Amino acid sequence: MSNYLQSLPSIAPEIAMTVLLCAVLVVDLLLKGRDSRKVGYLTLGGLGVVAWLLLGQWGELGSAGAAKRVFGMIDIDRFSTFFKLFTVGSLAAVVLFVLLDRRERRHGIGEYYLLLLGAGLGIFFMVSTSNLLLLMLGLELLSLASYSLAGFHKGDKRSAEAAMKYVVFGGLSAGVMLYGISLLYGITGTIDLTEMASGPHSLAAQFSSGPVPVAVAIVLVLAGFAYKVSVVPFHFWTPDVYEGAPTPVTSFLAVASKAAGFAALLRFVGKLFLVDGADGAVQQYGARIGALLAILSALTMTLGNLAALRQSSMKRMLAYSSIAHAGYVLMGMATMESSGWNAAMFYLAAYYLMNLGAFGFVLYFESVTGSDDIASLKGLGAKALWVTVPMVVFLVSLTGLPPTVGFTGKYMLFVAGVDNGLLWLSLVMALNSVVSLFYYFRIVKALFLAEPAERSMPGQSALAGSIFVLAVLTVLFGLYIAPLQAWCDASVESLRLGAG
Amino acid sequence: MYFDYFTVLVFASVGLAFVFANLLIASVLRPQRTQDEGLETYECGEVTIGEAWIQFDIRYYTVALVYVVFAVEIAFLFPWAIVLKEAYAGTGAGAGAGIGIFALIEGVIFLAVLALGLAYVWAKGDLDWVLTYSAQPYQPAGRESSNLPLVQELEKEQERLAEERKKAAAAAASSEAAA
Amino acid sequence: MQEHILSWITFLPLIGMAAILCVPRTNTGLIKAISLAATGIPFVLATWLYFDLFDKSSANLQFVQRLDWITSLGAYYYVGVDGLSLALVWLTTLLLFIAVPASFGIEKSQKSYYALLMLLEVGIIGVFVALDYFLFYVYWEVMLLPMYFLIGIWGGPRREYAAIKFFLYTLAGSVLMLVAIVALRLQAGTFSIPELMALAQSGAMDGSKLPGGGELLGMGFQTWVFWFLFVGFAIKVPVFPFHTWLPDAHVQAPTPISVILAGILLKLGGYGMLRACFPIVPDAFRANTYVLGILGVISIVYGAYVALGQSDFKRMVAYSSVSHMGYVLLGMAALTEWGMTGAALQMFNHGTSAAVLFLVVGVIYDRAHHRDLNGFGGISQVMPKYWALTTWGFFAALGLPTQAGFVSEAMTLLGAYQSADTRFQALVVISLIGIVLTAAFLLWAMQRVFLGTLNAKYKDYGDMNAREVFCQAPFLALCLILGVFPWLLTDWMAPTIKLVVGTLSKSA
Repeated sequence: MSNYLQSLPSIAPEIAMTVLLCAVLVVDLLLKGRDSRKVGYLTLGGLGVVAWLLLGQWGELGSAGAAKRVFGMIDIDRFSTFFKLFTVGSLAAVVLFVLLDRRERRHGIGEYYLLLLGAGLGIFFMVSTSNLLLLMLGLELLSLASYSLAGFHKGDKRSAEAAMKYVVFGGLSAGVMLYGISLLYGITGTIDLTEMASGPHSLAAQFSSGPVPVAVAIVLVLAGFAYKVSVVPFHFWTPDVYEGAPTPVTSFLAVASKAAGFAALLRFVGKLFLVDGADGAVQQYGARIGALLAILSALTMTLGNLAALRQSSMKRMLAYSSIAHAGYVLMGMATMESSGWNAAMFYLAAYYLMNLGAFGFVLYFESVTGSDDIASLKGLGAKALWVTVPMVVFLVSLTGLPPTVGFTGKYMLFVAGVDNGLLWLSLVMALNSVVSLFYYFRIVKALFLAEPAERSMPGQSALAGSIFVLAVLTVLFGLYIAPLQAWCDASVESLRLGAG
Repeated sequence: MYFDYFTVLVFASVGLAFVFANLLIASVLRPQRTQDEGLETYECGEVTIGEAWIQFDIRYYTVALVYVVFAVEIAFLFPWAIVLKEAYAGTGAGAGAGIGIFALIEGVIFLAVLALGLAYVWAKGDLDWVLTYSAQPYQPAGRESSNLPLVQELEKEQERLAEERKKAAAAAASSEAAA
Repeated sequence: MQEHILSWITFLPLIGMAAILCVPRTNTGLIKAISLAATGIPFVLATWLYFDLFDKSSANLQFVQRLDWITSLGAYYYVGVDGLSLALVWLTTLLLFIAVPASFGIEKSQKSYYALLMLLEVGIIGVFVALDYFLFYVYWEVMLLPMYFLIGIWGGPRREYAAIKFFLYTLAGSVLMLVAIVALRLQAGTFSIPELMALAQSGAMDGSKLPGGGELLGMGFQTWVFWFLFVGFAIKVPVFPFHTWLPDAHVQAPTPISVILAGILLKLGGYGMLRACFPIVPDAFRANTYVLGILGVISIVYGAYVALGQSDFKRMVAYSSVSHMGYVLLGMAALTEWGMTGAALQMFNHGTSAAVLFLVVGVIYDRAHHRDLNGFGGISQVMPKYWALTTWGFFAALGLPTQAGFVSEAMTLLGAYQSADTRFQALVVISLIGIVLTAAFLLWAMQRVFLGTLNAKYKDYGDMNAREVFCQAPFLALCLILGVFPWLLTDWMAPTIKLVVGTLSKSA
């Protein structure tokens, strides 16, 4: 009993999140659905508390120096805390977006915050467990909340269609992944990744005796992750869902949900193959996984960028661009080396910043023009410089030009690629960023290069302010990367240490 | 190791053979009388109307979801109750671990969360079979048009129907005028 | 301040930009004044640096500053100048300083225009003074965005197309460059360009620190790094066949921007090759000099030939740039001191003569609002001053003796002829065709615009005003002065050129 009680403080952020979730539910019921903004403020405040707990945990982990495992299935390490912090950050941004969305109803949307918190809780467990069953539960919690969020605007046909597609694809991929997990369990007799890597029936021992079942199992699990982070060929849902879902939800799906998928993927592959002092069979197998990831990465970034070229809707374009960015992150992973994983982590962090900003911009203009068409932005560049100039910063960063965090991230990925024999992939990525420039700058072109439009822009200073802050961060972390890089290093380091 | 599964194969084959053998024997032995009633879905009781592929009321779905609340509760509480009893009695797996009070609190939290869910459903009126309010479908401004293929198709279809109705009305009006 | 003078020159325009952003947009007078100050002071500083502070007898890098920047990536804020870059820094400050009054005619959102112009200057000077490859690359890219907007917002009718084309071409080159820089960094463990050169001298650029010997698609480490860097710079120069962005960008850009584009941006490519490409992968360079020579000659002849066929005045001038920049490549590829000096001179001199040509086009375009060479005629009768200055500019551009272009072209060709690789002699002979064609298209253009009967439409055109004369005068003067006293440049460059040629020609 003392064991359990002593472990409880370790999951204080999760507990706080759950309590917050219940509190939001109760408060919404007490308000009888009126004035949901109050619920939103409560959510923001609660997220602040969770962030404070997480920061405390991060510091504690630094002094203790190593990861710990509680309840035999939850890893409290810097890797998970890193992702939890970013999840809380992006949740806060999304909640803010909901609060500031001029077209959103003011009443009866308490569930919005409830579902966001539920999804966040799912991410918390998903990024911090080595237990495949808990991973699956976290993933499903995230997915279920996301399905409802995607269809939150029930009356909007596009929103409904988005939710429907999301459910169908999501259900299929979850099934596939679960099947892969069950195969892994059948092969190794455990659902714990650490035991799978080093236990008596370790996966390594099975490589030689039964390579086919192992390969099938791993590929199936990877397919599940590939769906979550929209890697080709499991990306089909992305553009439709991103376009149909309410814009704040889209930003959540594109940022937090995708990063969570990557976190789980990193942990899955990392625990199994990035083990210090692993024997030859594991390393060899890891190299093969790396090759598979490299090919997927090349396909994903190329296809994502090419498809984005022809989009007229900003949300659809950003959806394809997010597919391309998943390819970039995969390139860092494909190196199967700490340096590459650091780069992948760094790029994910960069991706958080610039994509949140870009979706904030979409939200801002959607509420003015009523559409997310690029054409509707024509000549509005000079009307709201506090938003459009930050958007240029985000687009420059997404393209990967200095002096922004996107460039630094891309540079680090290049270094990792060239240093680990993925020179060809670096080249593919380099050419891809040229392609991406073309479609990103269609937005700039519409904003600034067209003749100025005659149209008044209602002020949305709070939203503009948050977008501006994100832009400042995007440039700041591009020029002064030391802190962010240190966080990434510590996270990947803890992933390796946690293998024991 | 693969040999271990041979027994499974034998078992499966025998099972399959048994099913088909019985069907075969029955088809030989049973009397062959063909009447219209014999082809009905239900030979007695309700006469079927139409297909099963129709829209059901969403309330069935809500009720099914609420049912899950209780089903999960039951599925979890039976083993929990037994463990709790053993923990206090000092027998069984929980003996000596001193988890009694801990398990009790955990169970209470679990029930509280489920109760919260039930309260939510209740407060939202999903337990009322006869709906007392009707909500307006939500349509955000300016989101009428879409470039999602399915919605576009749907919208085109609706437009076409509206067009046809208009034409029909116009035709009727003109024929009336002519008469 | 003296030891930080390079940083002052680089960042003063940035301060100017910040100041401009604080001024209300209606107060255009103050904006223009700030712009003049923010480009004028760097010009004065650069002049002081050039004639007084700089020790021209030394080939060493001077006014070096090295500060920690992104330590985890090994990037430093590392700047310094030698004779080669100093001349180009001076030219940049001059051109930008002239570009401000040349832009006074622009009416559309002036605040953003001058702010972007300042940012552009920061990027350009930064590239010339940067000695850290990472810093170099950052400046290189920082330059693109203001250029995109300057062409895209204030340009001609097809500006959107021209702006994105310029951006895409340059970015395509620079991402290749980035991959090569990454490989260099991993091989050498440093971003410092001087250190990289030293390592190249000791034969350390062999890709041994990279997996698989740093090979890419069967190409050796130096070979692919060389070609990636070369393509990155060649797009900027532009060298045939990477030149197709240039006519569009030049034609659509407003006059002052065309001046900057032709006067300075093209030099970045040539400068980059000389500083950051050839000496770093010298083995690959030596193996490919003849290919580069051929590309140079194709640019010379093809550029001039296409210019001959243009009826758009500005397009003609744009193609003449392709032709003139071909000499730079030819001179460098010849790998002789004469050739290299000629190439460096040609970069500088084309900066002045191209500036004049674009200003000339700007003057007539501001009046006629078209640039069709066949639509003019007899302009000399109404605009005699304009005719005189244009004639001077044209003769400077076609390389008349006593003009700067003559010195640099002659030196380049002589240098190429002397090359140890005797195949260059044939190239020199072919490139002579280019000289003839250049004379042909310039003289023919002059005939069509200024001579013949006066088109009645143009009879009440006023001659050039003081501002226009002021903009052209310094460049024309430079053409003459440097034609007669080329030592004003060569004395400064000689030690550096000697060092570079020495570095390049001896094999490790």
